[in-house]
Amino acid sequence: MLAKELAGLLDMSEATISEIENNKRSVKAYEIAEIADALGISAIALFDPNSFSSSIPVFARTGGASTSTEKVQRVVRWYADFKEILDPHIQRDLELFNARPRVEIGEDFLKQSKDLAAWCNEKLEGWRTSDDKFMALKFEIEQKFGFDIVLIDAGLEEILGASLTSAEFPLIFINSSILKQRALFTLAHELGHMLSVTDSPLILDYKLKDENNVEKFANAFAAEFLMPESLVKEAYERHQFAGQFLEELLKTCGVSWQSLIYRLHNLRLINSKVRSVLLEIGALGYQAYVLDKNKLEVDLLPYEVPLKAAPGSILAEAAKRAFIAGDLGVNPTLSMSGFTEEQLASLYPPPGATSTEALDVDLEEFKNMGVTTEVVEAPSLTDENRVYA
Amino acid sequence: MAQPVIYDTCLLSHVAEIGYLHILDFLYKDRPEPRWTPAVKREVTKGAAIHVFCKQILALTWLGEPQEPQDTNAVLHLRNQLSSQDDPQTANMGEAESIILAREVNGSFMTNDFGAYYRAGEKQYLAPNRVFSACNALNEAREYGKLSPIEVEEAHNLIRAKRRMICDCRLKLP
Repeated sequence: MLAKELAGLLDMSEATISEIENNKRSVKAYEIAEIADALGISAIALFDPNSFSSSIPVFARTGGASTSTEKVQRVVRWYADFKEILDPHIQRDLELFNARPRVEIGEDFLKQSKDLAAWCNEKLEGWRTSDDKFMALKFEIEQKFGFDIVLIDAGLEEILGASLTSAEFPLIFINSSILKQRALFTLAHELGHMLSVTDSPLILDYKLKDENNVEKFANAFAAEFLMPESLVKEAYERHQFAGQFLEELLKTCGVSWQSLIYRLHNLRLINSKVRSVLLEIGALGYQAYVLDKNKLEVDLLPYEVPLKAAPGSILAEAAKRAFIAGDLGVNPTLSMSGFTEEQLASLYPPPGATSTEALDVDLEEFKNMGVTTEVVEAPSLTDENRVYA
Repeated sequence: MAQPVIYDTCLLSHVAEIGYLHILDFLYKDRPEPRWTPAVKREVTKGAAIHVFCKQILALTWLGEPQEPQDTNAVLHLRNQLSSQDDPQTANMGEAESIILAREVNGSFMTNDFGAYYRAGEKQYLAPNRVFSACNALNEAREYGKLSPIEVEEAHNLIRAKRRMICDCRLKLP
């Protein structure tokens, strides 16, 4: 961005920007924040080149970024700014993640993605039997792989998800405004990135198109992980190509009609003509066709409870611990933990109480989180204890 | 020796909005500067385009020249601590600068912002005995006979009618 363009975004002259750039004028803290907001980067990254925030890619505003993309970028940099504060409070188990089969994405990405997906299906088996497959998979990935999945309400625009593939601070972001079946595929796609990419810290995903081998790999991984060839073919053996076949796969895999039809075509169970027709008529059209032709009732459009914004479970617990230790403020704790103000207030001791008493309110929950309830001196806010300086 | 009292935008605007700025002048005019920071002045200046009371704040001569804290890194990190995920990076900059400045000049901090009030009260910043709100100033003015108990109650009600108010005094208000 040129100094002239930046000056246009700020209440500053081009000459002032130029003086700042050339170290001829000191910069005030609010000016750093204004410049950082205008550029779409972290103020801490701008001020401190040694911070973790500055180690992830600069999200410089280029003029083409949409509101939803900017929102995801803002949340990514917001989390990154707290990395150093949260670090001592984060309890994540990366043993399984570190034991993953190593992948060098090349021309044989199909075979590699299939092998990695098979390994993942061995490790992540609980989510498939859940009624809410997305949330079950989210929780299982967080618990077993040790990285957080944050749901952001980024609106019905093009961004679907993002991966911060840093081994120090692994995070997946999913746009909670998209349909749940699409979100599940996006989550599996981002999982593919997290397990295979090491040299590109941040990946933003828009339409999950096969733009390069990294994206092709992640798509192939997601398809094989959610709809394993063996599972699809077993169902085919049982039903042949009947209504129940599609119903069973949609329910078992939790994917969208579109993903399933593409998968069947890629597995050569349907030809391209059938694929086109099925995509054209959609699940509703096929459901009506089956009922009309075979008098067979199938449910291809199960109702799904929409997703909503939600924090990652590991960081949420770390935020609560950091809050209790006095390392994290109220507002970031609320954003990161998903707590309400009332729930958070219950962690703050009432006047005259020790924090242990306050913690008793929610002790069971904190026992489950593994938080120790050490006694901290309660801040007293009574008039008698105030000393005017 | 008396120590400086640093005001943030929230405190100044709440007190200005109900027409009680003269109380701050009466109570703390003999305390040394600084009394505010560049970010607070910036926020009040922006507010002056919309609110008359912000223009009244800018017209106060006793506020003196804003002073910038030395530790910019601490300001930026504290600002993050006061902000939520959806805030722009300029949000809460005035509070963050005021708290760090108060710490650097060994002064007190006066705010009506809940987050800043509680954060500033932590030991690593100022500790509770160096953080005050409009409620404290009003009660101090009453102790000096500058305001009657009824006026203090009225001022509480005026602030509460417009904003949230931090209040740890013994007034039993509805």
